[in-house]
Amino acid sequence: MSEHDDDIGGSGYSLEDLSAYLDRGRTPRIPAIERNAECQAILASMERMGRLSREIVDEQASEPIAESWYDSIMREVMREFRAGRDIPLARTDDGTELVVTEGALYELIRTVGDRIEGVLVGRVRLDQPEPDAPLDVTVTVSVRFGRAMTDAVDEMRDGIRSAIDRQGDLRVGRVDVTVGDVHIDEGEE
Amino acid sequence: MTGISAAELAPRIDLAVTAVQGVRECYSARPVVARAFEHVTDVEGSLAAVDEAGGVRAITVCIGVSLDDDAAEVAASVAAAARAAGGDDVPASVRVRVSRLVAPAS
Repeated sequence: MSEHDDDIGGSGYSLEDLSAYLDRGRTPRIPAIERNAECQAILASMERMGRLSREIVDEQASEPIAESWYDSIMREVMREFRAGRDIPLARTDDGTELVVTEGALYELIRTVGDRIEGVLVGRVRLDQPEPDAPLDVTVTVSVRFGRAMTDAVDEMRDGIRSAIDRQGDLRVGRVDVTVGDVHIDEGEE
Repeated sequence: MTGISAAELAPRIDLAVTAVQGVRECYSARPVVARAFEHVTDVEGSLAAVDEAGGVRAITVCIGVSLDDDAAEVAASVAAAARAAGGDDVPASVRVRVSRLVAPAS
C-alpha cells in the first residue's frame, strides 16, 4: 500500500494502487476498495478511459492514447471525485436527511459527456454561491474534428441540465460549456 | 424500547437497503477510523453506521444510484427501509448519502 497523501477516500490506497488492482482483475478482492464510494468512482473512470483508449486504437489502428493525457485526466478525475461537501437532495419533516455528494455530481456530469458522440470532457467545476441557490456548472470539452461544435455544446448543456434537474430538489443555474480543444483521430491526420 | 443493539441493527439495515429498488451499490458509511481498523484487522464490518446515544439512534447509509433514476426518491425509500429495519419504536434520525450517480447497467 502506498503512503497517505494520495489516499483515496480514506481507503488507504492510492491511484497507483487502484490502477494495479484493476490490472489484476480486482482479485484478490480488497474490501476497503470495494466498499468505498470514492475508490469505486475512480475505478469506474479508469475502466471508461481504458475502453475509450481501446476503441480509438481499434477504430483508427493508431497508437494508444498518450499516457500523459490519460494521467492528466485521471488527476482531474481524482480531484473531482473526492466526496466534497454534501448537498441537500430533499427535505423531510421526520429527521431524515437526504444528501448527494459533490463527487457524485461530478461523476454524473462526466457520464453525460461520455454519452455524447465526439465529446471528451476535460475540466468540470460546480459552484453553488449560497446553500439553497441553483448549481452553476462550468465544463471544458474537446470536440472531435468534423463534429459541429454548437450541436455538441448544446447536447452537453441540455444533458447536464436534464440529468441534474432529475435529482430531487436540485436545480441548475448557469451551464457554461467551453470548447477548449479539438481532437483529431490519428487516422485523420 | 427493545434490546436490539446498534451492532445487531447495522447488518439488518444493510440487507434492507440492498433490497430497495433503485439502489445500485452500497458503500461503507462508517467513520474513516472504523474503516481503517477493519482494514488493518482484515474484518468486514457492516456498511451502515449506527450510533445510539441517550435513547436516540442515528443511522447513516451510503448508496450509489443509477443516474437515470431520481436519487431523492430512491434515497427516501432507503431511509424508510433503514428506519423500519429496527422493528421497534426507538426514535431515529436517518441520513442517506448518495455517493455515486452511476450509468445504468447495460
